[in-house]
Amino acid sequence: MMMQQDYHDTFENVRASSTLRAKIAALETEKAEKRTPAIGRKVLLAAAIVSLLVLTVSATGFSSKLLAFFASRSEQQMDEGLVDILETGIRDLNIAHTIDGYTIEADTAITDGRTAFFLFHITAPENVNLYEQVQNGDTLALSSINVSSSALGEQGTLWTIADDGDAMQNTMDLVCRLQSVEGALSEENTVSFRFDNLSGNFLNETYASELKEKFGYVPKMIDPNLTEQDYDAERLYQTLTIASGLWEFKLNVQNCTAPAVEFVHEPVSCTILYNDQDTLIATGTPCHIDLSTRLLSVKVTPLGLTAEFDKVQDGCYPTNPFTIVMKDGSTVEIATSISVAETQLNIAFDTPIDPSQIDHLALSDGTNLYLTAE
Amino acid sequence: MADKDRLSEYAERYLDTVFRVALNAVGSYADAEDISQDVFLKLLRQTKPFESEEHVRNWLIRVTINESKNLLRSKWRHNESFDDHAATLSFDSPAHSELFYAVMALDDRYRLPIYLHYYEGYSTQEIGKLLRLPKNTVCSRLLRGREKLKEKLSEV
Repeated sequence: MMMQQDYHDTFENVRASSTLRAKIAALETEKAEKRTPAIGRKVLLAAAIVSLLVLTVSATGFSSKLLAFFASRSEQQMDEGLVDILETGIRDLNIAHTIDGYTIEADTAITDGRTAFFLFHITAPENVNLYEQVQNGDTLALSSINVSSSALGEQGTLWTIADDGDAMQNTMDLVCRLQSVEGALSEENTVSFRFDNLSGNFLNETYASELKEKFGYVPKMIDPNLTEQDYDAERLYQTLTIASGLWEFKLNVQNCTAPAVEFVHEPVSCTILYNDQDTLIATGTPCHIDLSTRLLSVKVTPLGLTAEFDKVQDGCYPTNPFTIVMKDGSTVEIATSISVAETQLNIAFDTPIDPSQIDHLALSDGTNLYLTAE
Repeated sequence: MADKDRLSEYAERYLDTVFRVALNAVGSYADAEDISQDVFLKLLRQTKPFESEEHVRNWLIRVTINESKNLLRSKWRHNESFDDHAATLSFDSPAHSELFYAVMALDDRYRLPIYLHYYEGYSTQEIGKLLRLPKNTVCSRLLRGREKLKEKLSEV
């Protein structure tokens, strides 16, 4: 295993060049005169040939915060096709409510009817450090936010703190991902968000001092070295209200127009894994069994995949059998997979994809499905 | 910056840190130099006074991370090899050189948390604040990053 000292010694040798030092020293004498960075000069030279994409982006490089959020999560640079899909599909919401100096704005959203992302921007009074307040203990306390929708359920809901692109401590972006618990697409989705107080995790300083004296350090919320009997984690990291109020949003979001791509043109016989719920309940151990079925449909959108199977056995729920292989050889990371009505599977992607760039879907039994297969 | 004459002092103290953070964030020597310049330009234009040395260091690292993310989002990147900077990048031993290139071959999502933890000494919670990631995500990236680094070093 890498030794910390080796790592430290290695990077001790990595230093700014004398040229860079000279440039920094020159900044002082330039008195902050506006400088065109080297990259910027290249942009100017290439301006005549840059794509429409570059011309439409904002100062942060993207036309919307949600697009920037997706880009920041992508392991690879998003290609222009995907950026076009997302720019077309992302809807501006721009609904803001302010209570006692705290503004929550529903900024943007995108959905395909099964998976949805909503970006909220929070602005607190200038002297408030939101990052300190909500992350002091362990994670953001989001239990006070209720989400309800006719089709998009709370199952698979995930909140993420996004980089809002500034260094301000009193502003924060939150992204909520929702996934449908129903199989059918709806044309329009109404989702309600209720921020019932803004809460954060706070360290109980008095109790922390006691524990530090006892154990030599302040335990984490989940500390692998200590048991529940050793300390009370909830007392140590208390959830307290940052701001009181009810910020309520009822948001209507139309589905993005990117069409779902169908990979199954006629039923495909295959063997897939099923979760054996009976064994799981009886033994507490997950049990997967091979079952023969027919795949009736596989639709892929930029945000997720929906598959429909023949029903083969009561009480069985399909486990994701797909590996999505892109044309560049990479595979798509699956965020959540929800079984619907025993015969359908709703999968949300960790980050959006351009379905036209899929090479094939590989099933766990070795079957490959190709977009152009007839 | 409230006291412009302190720029050279801050550069003396933190330029290497800023450069290393940028290098680990973007994986390109030339891009890291550009980012370092932009960060110190922002420092020069900063009007609010800093409360402490720790405040300055955290501010510089945070802005470096932001600038790096902005660059990664843009389509304009330097196309270069580390061999182009062999004269500047010299190591005490072949093992250090191997480790450096193995680290640089890691995905940037692993590289930066590893650097902030192992070199700068930040805790996972502090890294979470700097990168605006949940602490658990930082922990898993450190764990995966170490595993991947181990794999790469065993291949050498």
